[in-house]
Amino acid sequence: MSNTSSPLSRFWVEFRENKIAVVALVVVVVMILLALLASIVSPQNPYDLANLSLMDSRRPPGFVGSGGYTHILGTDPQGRDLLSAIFYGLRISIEIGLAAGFVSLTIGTALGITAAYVGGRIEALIMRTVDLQLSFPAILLALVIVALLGQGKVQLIGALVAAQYAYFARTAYGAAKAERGKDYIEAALATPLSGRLVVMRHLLPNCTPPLIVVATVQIANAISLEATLSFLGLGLPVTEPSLGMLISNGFPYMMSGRYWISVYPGVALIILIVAINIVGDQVRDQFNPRLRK
Amino acid sequence: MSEIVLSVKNLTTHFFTRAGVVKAVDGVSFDLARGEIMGLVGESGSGKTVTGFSLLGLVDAPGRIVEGSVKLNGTELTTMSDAALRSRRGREISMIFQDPIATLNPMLTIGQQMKLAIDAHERVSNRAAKARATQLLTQVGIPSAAARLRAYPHEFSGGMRQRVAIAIALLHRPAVIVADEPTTALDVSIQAQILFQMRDLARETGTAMIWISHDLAVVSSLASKLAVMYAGRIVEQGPTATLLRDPRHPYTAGLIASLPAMAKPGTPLTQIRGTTPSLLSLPPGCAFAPRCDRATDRCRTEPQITVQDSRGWRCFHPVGQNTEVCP
Repeated sequence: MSNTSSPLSRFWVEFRENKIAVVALVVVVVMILLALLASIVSPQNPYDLANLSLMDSRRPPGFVGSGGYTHILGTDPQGRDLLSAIFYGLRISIEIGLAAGFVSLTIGTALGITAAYVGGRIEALIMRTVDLQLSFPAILLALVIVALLGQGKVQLIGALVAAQYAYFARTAYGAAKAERGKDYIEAALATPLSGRLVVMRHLLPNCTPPLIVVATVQIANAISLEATLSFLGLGLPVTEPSLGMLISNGFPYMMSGRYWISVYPGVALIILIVAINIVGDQVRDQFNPRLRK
Repeated sequence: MSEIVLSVKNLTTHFFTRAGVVKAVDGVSFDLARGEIMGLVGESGSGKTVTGFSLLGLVDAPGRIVEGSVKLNGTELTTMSDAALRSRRGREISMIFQDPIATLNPMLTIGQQMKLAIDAHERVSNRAAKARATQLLTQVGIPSAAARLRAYPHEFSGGMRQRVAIAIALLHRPAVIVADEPTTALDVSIQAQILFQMRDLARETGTAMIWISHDLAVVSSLASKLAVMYAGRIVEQGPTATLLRDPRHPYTAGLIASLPAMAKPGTPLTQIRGTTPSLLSLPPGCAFAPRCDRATDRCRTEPQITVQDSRGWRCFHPVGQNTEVCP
């Protein structure tokens, strides 16, 4: 081990040893790039209704449509090129997954660490609320909130955050509570160092490993939760379909042999979620001292 | 006698638990001079750690200092507000803990942590902080200290980490350092090195130390005076050499006799029979009486401290003074 290696570089060296995780990481990066560059790599802008022709709807993969190019994955009931729709759908899914993940990470961590640091009534209040919420299925909560708030990106993210912050709060609380009792925190608190400084420099950094693990898992969860909500018709407007919406759009045609409308977006969704989870598993294994050699 | 930096009088710390009042520290008194090292010895549960914590005002609920006084450079600490106490901790009196792994933040480099410890009490430039940290790390025996400032705690061995903890305790040149079994987790050769360095440091910097340990052998090589604790009380104190050569309290005598170095090879080690009494239900009078061969009925009343020259003990039937034993 090199003399002054930062924790991050040591982490990467260990991460590289798991080939599957590296492949999964590459897949995640590629999918994020595709989503970012959707407007460049897609043959068609599926959100521009002027581009769509109903004559092209529900065509099988390989069909050459009125736009003059081949629909490699076929088209959906609105006549969108499915490949383009998947790229744009990935963009929405990843965007919402990341946004919901990070907002719930921030809120949950703040709540969990506050509870562990302050203690007493505030601790009881925050953590019992979290416990109460964790006793409901996340999907139920998200459904109710979306139904109350209505459709739209912000509302959807809000619903996902409301359903997910509790996991982060739980994790941050557990880690912070354990760390809080250690000598170096007690010692720092026994000096005139401000509480804010102790939390930011000592408490928070030492709670990050489990939070990173939960964050990767929860981003994947947010993506699948969003897909679920969209599939149930509670997600984003039909004009801007996410992956879940695409699957939902194709569902009525599954039995009539037009499998591609649902299956390809589904495959894209599964690949994304599985890849994120594999990366998350590897990160978790590396952070888990019990699995260390 | 040189100037007294720490003066403890009748320090009494009780824990008010549901099961009853635990008298963890019960009337402890001692004085500590500049640069002096005092060993505080006793079994587990004898109250030595709580004594150390009480000195710094670190006793948490349900514990409380019930009475007594702790004067640091003439200032009373027990009645001080929490904020005032905090501004003195680490600057005028600091503490070294037993477990060198938990005392350092694993996510910050040694340099960052030392800077934070300086920041707690002073505004200094990064460069000045670095110079001070380097100097102290060198002083506690860490080679190429300047480069090691950028290292993380996991890159240090246990002994090195404890040296870093000692260096952090020394950052503000406190008048008193309370060291709570700082070498217990280390192996013997490292222990010896650190002990000698601590003795030199105390001499150089004029920092007085209270060295808490259950290991009489370790403490006696370091401390110039000893205080032996049993069930929350100091049962005997005095200069190390005198105490070891000529113990008066039967408990001290028992501790010395049970040192492995005192045993003949091949024979079982000497033990003190019985175990430490529960602090919840101490026997009346001398707490050591039930385990003591010299105990008589008189031991059911509380023995007062007998002072002789620079030493004192709390026993009716002191060892080596058989003439005083009552019929």
